[in-house]
Amino acid sequence: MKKLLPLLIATIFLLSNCMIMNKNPENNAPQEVVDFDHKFAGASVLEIDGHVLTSSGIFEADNDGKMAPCVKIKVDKGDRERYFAGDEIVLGVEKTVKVVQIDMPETESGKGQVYLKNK
Amino acid sequence: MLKEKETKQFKPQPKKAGQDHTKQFFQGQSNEGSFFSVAPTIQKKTTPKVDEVPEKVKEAEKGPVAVKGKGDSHEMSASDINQGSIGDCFFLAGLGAVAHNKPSLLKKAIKDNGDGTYNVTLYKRKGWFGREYGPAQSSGRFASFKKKTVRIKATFPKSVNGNDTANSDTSSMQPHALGGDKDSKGNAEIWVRLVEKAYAQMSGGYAAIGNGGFGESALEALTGENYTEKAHRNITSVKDRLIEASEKGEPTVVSTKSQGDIEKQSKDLVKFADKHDIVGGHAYTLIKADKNSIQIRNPWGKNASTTTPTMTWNQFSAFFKQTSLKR
Repeated sequence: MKKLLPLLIATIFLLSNCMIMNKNPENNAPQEVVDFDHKFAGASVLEIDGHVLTSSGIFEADNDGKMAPCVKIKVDKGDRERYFAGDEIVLGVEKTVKVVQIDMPETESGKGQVYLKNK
Repeated sequence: MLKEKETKQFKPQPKKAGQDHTKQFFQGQSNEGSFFSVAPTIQKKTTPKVDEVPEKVKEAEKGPVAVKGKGDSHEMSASDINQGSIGDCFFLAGLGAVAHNKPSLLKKAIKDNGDGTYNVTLYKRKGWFGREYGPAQSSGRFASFKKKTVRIKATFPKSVNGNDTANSDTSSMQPHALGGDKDSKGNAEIWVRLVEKAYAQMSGGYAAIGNGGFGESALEALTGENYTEKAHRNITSVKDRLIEASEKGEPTVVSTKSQGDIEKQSKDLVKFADKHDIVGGHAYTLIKADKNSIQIRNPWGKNASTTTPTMTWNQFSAFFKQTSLKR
């Protein structure tokens, strides 16, 4: 019995790790989109070609009668505007980016990622 | 970006009979039913270490560790902190809180090895198999800490042609905190990025700290002292405790409600929030609190419309939902 004890402890330890992995919310996070040029977290800062974008947390809002993930972004300390996936952000005369995806994990609010594509 | 966590008690509470915190921990739930992350422990095994980022997307820094900027009271000042594109506001707000109140702690924590590497000393909770095994405060116990010295190179992931380097095969390749004060040669100080990288290294990579977290974890790692998350159920008691923390010089982090909850406030409050960059799911450093108002610092630093906004307690209670306080 004494000889089996370390094996038993090791088995329990490994099983507990597997349980944690299965419960890890990261494992259920939405798949990342393939085609994007820029990515930033909710409530963070991204610089694109000298323009500074600051993002609010991600939340659900009404987009033409349908609730959808939304983010409020401020460009170069301008006004904070709402953006949904598919909207374009004009950074300057020569630069526009498109919001291609906003991830908002179901279990959490105010978090997730924003994906942008150069136009 | 801040992970949500509803908690806790100021004073240690006896463990209730039949209460199984281990089970709650595995289930990813705190004892009050809200989301509780176990990610830092998990990702330690699954995420590449920060020094495994290929050299081609890293940038060697030759700047000094710290430079005393104009108006700074210390060379390591909260004003040096400028968050990048990863969601580690909880850590940078905590770092700002320590720099604001106890800069000597940070000075002692960083040692230049003279060979392009630095030793950064942080703290880790002692626990079962070396894990941060659940919130000690839930069971009324205080955690003990051990020093963890992390040896790192002064190389950091960089943006490539203005693009976020997260757009790559390795999720840990995300831009770090931006530069702070510069020396006479124009080299930016590196202390913020060194400590951020050391924390990332200890936690399992930039990706492990870049998707939110708790001010409590950051402050414990930086100070080796017990912290707790206090939910704002009663703004009067929170106010008194924040004023006390401010007067005592305790590093403290305050965290906002979700953006959705901020949007539900009155028009004037939403306008105030938008104007001063009070955004949902974000963490801020406590700068000063008195009976009339509270001043906080946004870890976005120079990129925030208002870096250190001051607000009334009514405004504060409309936007903020929890505080990381010393126990």
